[in-house]
Amino acid sequence: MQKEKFSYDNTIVRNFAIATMVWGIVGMLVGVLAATQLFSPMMNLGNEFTTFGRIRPLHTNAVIFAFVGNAIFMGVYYSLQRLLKARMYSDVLSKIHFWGWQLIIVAAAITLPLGITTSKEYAELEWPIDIAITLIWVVFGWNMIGTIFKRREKHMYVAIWFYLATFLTVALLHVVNSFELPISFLKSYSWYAGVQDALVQWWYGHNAVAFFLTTPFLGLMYYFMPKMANRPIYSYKLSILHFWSLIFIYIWAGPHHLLYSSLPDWAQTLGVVFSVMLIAPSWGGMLNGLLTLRGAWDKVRDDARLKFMVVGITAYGMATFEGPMLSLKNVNAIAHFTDWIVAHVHVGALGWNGFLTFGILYYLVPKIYNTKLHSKKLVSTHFWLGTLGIIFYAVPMYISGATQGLMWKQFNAEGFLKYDNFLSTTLQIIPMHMLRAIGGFIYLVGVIIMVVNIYKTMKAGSLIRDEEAEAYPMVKEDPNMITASFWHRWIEKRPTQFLVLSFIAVTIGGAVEFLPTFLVESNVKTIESVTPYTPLELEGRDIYIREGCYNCHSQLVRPFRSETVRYGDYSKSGENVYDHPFLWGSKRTGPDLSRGGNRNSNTYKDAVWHFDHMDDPGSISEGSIMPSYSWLIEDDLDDSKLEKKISAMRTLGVPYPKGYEKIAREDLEKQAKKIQKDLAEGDRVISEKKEIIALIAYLHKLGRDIEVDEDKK
Amino acid sequence: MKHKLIKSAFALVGLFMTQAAMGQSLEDIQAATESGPAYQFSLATVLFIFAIILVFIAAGMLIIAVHMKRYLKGELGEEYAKRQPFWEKLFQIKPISSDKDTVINHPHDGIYELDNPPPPWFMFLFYGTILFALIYYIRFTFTDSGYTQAEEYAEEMQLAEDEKAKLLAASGGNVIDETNVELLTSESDLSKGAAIFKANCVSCHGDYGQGGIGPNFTDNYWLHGGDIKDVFSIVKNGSPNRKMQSWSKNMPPASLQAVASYVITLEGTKLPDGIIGQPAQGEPYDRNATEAATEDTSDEEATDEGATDDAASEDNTEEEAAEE
Repeated sequence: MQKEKFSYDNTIVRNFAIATMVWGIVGMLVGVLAATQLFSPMMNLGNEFTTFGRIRPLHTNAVIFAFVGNAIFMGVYYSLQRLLKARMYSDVLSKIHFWGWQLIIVAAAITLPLGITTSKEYAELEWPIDIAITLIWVVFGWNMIGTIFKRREKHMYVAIWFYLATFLTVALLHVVNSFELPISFLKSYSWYAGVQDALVQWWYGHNAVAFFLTTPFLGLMYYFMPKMANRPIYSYKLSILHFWSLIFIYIWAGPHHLLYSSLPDWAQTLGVVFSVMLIAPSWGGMLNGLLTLRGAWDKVRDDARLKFMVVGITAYGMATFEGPMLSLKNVNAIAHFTDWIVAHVHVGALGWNGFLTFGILYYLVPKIYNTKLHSKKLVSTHFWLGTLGIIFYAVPMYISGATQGLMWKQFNAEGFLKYDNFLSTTLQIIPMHMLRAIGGFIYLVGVIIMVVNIYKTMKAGSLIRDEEAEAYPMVKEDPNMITASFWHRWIEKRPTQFLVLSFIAVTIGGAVEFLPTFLVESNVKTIESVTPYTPLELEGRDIYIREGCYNCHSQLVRPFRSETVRYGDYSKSGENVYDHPFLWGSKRTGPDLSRGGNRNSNTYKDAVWHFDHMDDPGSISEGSIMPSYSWLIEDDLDDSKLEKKISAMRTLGVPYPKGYEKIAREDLEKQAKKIQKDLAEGDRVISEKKEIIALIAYLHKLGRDIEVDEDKK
Repeated sequence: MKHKLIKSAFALVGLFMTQAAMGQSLEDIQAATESGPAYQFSLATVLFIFAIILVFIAAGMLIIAVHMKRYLKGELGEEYAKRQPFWEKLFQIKPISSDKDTVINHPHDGIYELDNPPPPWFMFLFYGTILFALIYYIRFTFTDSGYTQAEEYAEEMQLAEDEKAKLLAASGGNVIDETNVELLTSESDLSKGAAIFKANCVSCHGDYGQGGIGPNFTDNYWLHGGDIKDVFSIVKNGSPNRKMQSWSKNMPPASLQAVASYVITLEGTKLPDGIIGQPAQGEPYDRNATEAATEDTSDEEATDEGATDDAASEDNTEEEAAEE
């Protein structure tokens, strides 16, 4: 049999590599900005586009989808061709994929600071961009699966299993979570409401971490680690075991983001137990990665690229042990809503995703440019800066998280909250936020050094656009070749069956959790006194979403004495049945707001207070890190879409009477005038058309329906 | 050598930068929280944490350096690399020497895989967590020995109730409320009240009680009455329209009494230059006249009730008069 000649496409790898570095710097720069905003409100730069509420989603999107996303594609396009002994299926599709993805990122970078957002974490982009993501993702999958079908290597290596699972599951997550009803070109409402929306969102959010930040990187690890160390993978059996158990179990664990919420107990418990079961499958990946270095540890000493890989994989191991621990309800009770979670995700992002990406960049750029790294010393410098950066980021944040979490819960001997003023717990952790910003900055300096080093490397060599290669056409595998043959060897040669089986594995968990929550009424108990939002409140809610208030303020009181005393009655699922989307939040940088309209709660503030506080929070709460929202007082409310909004909400099941959209504006004006009068009585004289009036109306709706209930008791 | 110098210089700069940044913020924080509850942040804590991080880094570097030295001396050559380290034995990892027997002779782009079994402890962890999950799920979902989060909450609240009852019993059942509260006048009580005022009230009523979002305390106009019982009641329960919040969940009655008493002392105080008080709201309150009236009524009531109480109330009045 004759060997066939063909070539690998390196241009696409180079393009994704450059995009990875560019967006990496952008994303981390925005991250450092956001970090400084958390100790100095001045750093919000005094305009609406750079406030924390809009910058934080920009940071997470840029780092996850732009930096890590491009890194995935870079690594996949490099390794896939070589593992399959085939050029990519179509150069045109590769190009569409590349430019399409970059355009999506640019669209995100424009829309998020403008306040165009769905408010669902890591899925903030509005519906036209969601559709673009779907299309480009399909192009990626088409190109990958096309390449798999024209492969010259019958058996698919473990890295490819992970790539396939990534493609399939991310597509599923994205489509299901992005179900939304558009009301205009850049505004939509989530199809789901309240607790159901929360369940879908965190099924998505948790598995975006699993299938965008974990599985593709495990695939990359399986290729680049043995390549760099020149050692075999320790255990093929372990690969099989941890791949299938990982993708099956991961999908169930989403509810651990909603512990002590109004999600039914049975679903929360599922989240807990599946998270605990995730330890072994996750550690399987770590073990196989680290044990590949058996007999090559001396190389780690000399080769900073391997140091990146080792620390990255170790960070993965730590984060995947910590995750299950955080899913235990008693640990979660302290850690949830605090900086602890921020520390946890950054160990994963900076350590696992960041360090693996750097190691891979240092490995493949010299290869495709047919040259040597410009400076090995600078790689080492980068490694140590990066490691220091992670330590100075994570340690203060762990301290800060535990401190604040415990302070919230502290009662004094007389039975009163020791820190009844929320602000006092914020002021306590501000020094930790400063240290964290320094940690992030050190890490960024390391990345800049890397980019310089890679740039010089690229300049020294020249890109081999089409790398010549040759291989025999697909031949049958020697059946006696392996010591033990299992059913999976069979399926690993059949991509279609493989995809089907993976699909089944990743759908079961979601289905078991979703169907009862959506179909069984007892899971969302209705509360009679809960009414839909008035037109003005609905507009105010959209301002709350636009400004990203949920990035710092939760709307979920957990059933703890420390929370019901501080905020008011704990949250019930029936309260949120008209919430498209839900706005529970996942972080409490400021106090919970879900009882902000309940006059039995200490979080209720009157209109004048809100007016002054939005204008200059520091004037009321000295030392507050909330930025000024003075434009809410200056800008007129744009209620031109009110009719469409009411109609859309009715389509989604909110019981507005038929034809209400026609008279909704009258009600809006009436309510606005009432709040304007309240403000005027306190000498704050403004037009009733201002945005702040709508926002106050919304804040005064939060928890108000429950107040009626309490009176009845 | 040069390398080391750069490294230590970098570490020092970092250390000082952090300290400088923290020094700055400390002042702000202390200014913001002065005389508030005891949550002042201590520089010592942060330095301690900082030091611990540095110690860990130093320890790590030391281990690497020692290893490095042995390596350079040739103590750790290839022979050493091929020896199975103790931790691999500890974790039941197969030695490299067995690789040739387990290698799957089918490389992918030059990558070989071994057919080693997963380490036994790993399988133990795998099945162990599954067993844990099963027991946990069954216990908390299908049996009575588990509890729901609502039950957990009810228990926590019951405990708090019991504690409260104990405290009440210990104090002999004496509770200060709006029916029996008295104006405090001692310096220590008023300074306690002033501290509470500063920590909680100034955001709406101003640093000097001049008002802002809430009414002015330096004039003699009161929205809900100026008697200590009225002021105490408003602080405790909040105003009916909830512009003033209720503080009964935040502090014990004695503290409410102290701050209410302090607020009354603000009446008639002169505001510093440049501070303009909120215009008067509510009704003027004539403290002397009303106090006289209150005395009258209390005397009357006392007469009705009996001689002993009457004597006691007279004592009180005399004491108050003496203090004035």
